[in-house]
Amino acid sequence: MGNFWTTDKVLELSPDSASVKAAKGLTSLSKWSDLGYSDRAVWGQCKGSGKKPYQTRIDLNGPAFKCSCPSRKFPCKHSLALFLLYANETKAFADTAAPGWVSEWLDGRDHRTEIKEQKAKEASKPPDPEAQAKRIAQREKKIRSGLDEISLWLGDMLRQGLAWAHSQSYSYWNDMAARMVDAQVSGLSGRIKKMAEVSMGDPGWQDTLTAEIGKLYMLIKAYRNIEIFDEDLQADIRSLVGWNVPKEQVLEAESINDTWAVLAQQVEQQDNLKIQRTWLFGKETNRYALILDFAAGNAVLEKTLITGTQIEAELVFYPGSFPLRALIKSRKDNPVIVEAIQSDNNIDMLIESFSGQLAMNPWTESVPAMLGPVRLLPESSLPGNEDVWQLVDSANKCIKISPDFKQGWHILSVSGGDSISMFGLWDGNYFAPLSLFYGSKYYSAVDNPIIGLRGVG
Amino acid sequence: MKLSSNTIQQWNNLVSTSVLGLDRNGEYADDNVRLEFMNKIAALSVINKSGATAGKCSDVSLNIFSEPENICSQNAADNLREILNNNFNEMLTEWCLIASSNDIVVPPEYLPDIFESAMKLPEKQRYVIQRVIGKRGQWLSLHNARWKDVFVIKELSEEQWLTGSREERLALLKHLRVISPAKARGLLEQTWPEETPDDRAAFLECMKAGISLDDEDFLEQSLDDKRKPVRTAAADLLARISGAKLCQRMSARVKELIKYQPVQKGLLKKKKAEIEVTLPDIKDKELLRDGADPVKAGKMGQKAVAMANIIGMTPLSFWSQYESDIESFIMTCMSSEFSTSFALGFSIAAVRQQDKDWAKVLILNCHARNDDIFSLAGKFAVDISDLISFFEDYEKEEAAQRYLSQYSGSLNFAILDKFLYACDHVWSRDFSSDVIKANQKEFHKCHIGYDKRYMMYLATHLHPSIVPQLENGWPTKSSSFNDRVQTQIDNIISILKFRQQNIEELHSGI
Repeated sequence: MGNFWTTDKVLELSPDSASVKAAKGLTSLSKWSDLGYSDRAVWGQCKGSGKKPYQTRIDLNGPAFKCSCPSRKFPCKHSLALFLLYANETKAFADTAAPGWVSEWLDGRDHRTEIKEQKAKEASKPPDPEAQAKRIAQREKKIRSGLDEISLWLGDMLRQGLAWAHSQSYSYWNDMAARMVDAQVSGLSGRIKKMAEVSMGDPGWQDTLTAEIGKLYMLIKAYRNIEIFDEDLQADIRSLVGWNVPKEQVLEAESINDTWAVLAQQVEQQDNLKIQRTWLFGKETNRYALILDFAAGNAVLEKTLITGTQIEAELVFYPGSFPLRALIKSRKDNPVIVEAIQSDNNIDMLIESFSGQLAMNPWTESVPAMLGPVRLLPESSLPGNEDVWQLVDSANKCIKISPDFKQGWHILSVSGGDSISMFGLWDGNYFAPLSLFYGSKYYSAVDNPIIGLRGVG
Repeated sequence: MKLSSNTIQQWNNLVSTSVLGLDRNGEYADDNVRLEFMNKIAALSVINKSGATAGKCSDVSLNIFSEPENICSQNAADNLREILNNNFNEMLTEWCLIASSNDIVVPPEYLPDIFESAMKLPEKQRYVIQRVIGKRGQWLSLHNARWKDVFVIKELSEEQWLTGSREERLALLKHLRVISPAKARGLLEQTWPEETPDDRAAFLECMKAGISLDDEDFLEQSLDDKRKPVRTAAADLLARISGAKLCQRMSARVKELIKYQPVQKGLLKKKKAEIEVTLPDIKDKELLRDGADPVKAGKMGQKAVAMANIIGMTPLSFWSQYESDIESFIMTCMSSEFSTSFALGFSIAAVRQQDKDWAKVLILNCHARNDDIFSLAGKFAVDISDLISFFEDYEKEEAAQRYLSQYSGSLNFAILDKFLYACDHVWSRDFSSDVIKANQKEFHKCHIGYDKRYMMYLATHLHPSIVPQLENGWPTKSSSFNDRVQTQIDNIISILKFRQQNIEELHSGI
């Protein structure tokens, strides 16, 4: 039985470090019975505190989990423990037909998928055009009024001065952000919240806040004159303001088949919402894709994309001048370990491509890029300066690494100061590393205290 | 594209105006001018962002490290990650000792974390980390100013005595005292008059290693130093040299002050040994010069402390002329009204002279008998941990085992704790078994289930093979044996199992 799943990959699925600890305590074979596997699934029964053992099963196409325990965590410690056992003690699993409690669950999953697809097809039927036009017109009216309000607010702020705005409490910003949500321009609301953060915490707030005002003003003006731009930029502007393109509409776009390397995954908590950003790279098409997943409250994020793997998949992209955000339309079977990507993009090429991107879309915050061969070096050996990092290419050109980056020493230790290919985001000032390839191995550079920096491949 | 100075100037002007506010500037009174101002901000904010250029790296001299090393297995590395994530320092030490005995090193990606963990360890425990970082670890720490001083094995040169920092000079002196005590003393004598009083006292502290009669003249002179910490340190060192004049002077004082009448065996009656003590004159300048400091300590008076100091600076071999059997002699002294002075003085002397025979008798007859014996001595108190600090690990265990067998059934767990905390190494199987038996037998008095620190200490020091003994033998029907106790015992068992698995992984090699 060839087993793709390793301890690291399983631990990446864990909801928190407490679950890892609890799961490891259940990886003794003596606690398990009826361990089995098929091409599709893994299952076993775990002795718990009750009379009946917990029935735990994993659908490897996903992966997806189901356990009869009452835990609200997902995956629960039994599912993680079963997966860890499968990764490390594969011989203990019998290659056999799935018992009823597994096959019924798998059939149920297949059935639900079919219903979902059916519903999606039905949903893609065109809505009543008249009603839709009416809804759009109503929203447009609200948006225009929101834009008028925020223009006035920006003008007032500039008249009184940013020093005055800097002295205002959070509610000054938050109230306006809330009014923009009411006006259905959530994109602008987000920008105002960012301005509040800059004003409250950024040591160089004067420059950053001025630039943010400039970009916001430009966006308002662009939306008011949206008809003069080409279709792609119009899509960018509408998206920045807060219009969402319906998923069904995106799925109708031309799809791109490729082998997609899962380069990085970041999870960010915004208020009550978890946002997961997964970066993919098409090995044939040489293009990047960003898959966004959201989970509100206690809901669990989907973990079907595992960093350090690659999948055969068909992707569709949201419209825009430099389309990045994508949806997976379909994918083939299980992922496999990623084959190393050796980049030959140098720093000048990165800066040039960023400028080109800004010319197409002046609101571009950052661009994804794989740089290589590059060296990650401490900027200075002076005491106190050793945590300032830079990327240096073969022409000795260098760019600064984001000051928030914490894995510099780990990467230097792994690379021994040698050249690597590094993937990350460039925002015109700093490069924020997200992953790298050294030799044939992939390393995620996103801070993960559970597994630390770990090579795959 | 590089931003022109004109563009930068324009941007700076825009920012200044924005910060101060347009109302302050009459130029912006008109609505159209204000809109033009906003347009400029918008345009320049994009130009600024797109105008970034790459710098030229001035120093790419960092050498590349690519030597292959014997790296531990992934499972052993996973265990190390768990140890580091949970700050299990004792287990970290154990992991490193086993790894180094198997000639394996930590994987490169763990080096920064293990360096950071080691920075939190006491200095003397860091050496075990040094043994598992390999050459890559040495290379990496060279490039980090914080780690460099801790992990790079430095070549010590005598030149550092004149040019080095205080820490480097202390390290050099400690190092030289081990390999060439005379050379170290020579360096110190050379610069002694110019050293500050604090440094002089600190340097004398380094002379404990390799102390001998050769150091006597230098130390005798230091007894006349203007500063008390220097005089105290010199007297302490001289008291460690049994042939030193200071010890002879103390012996002479003892002869005058302590009269001993050994056991008299008559035909019909046996007369007990007797001891008569005259307390010293604490105004005696010679006595003060010799460091018998008559300060008040705890509830002990000045004279009683001075007496303890005199005894503490007298060679223990001196007492054999009074009584050849150490135990009988100590018991006689403990019956005196100045028993605290004797117990304190003998204990100080045993530690200074690293006399294991005296230490063992003192432990069992003074310290184990009464854990309160030094409550009178305040800051001068000498503990069981001091008395066995110079024992080998197995001798420490033997001392504790003697206590366990001699006091079985009436154990004082406060005293047992002192033995256990002094045995700060992984215990042998036999000793672990004795400790568990004692806890199970006298469960109603032990701290199992109530003292988290104690539980963690047991879990990290017991021999991992002791698990079966821990799983049974507890008085589960006792009213004081509740779920909390069982949970804590289960926790100890799971940590011991983790350690056992860890040991097996590390022994299985790379």
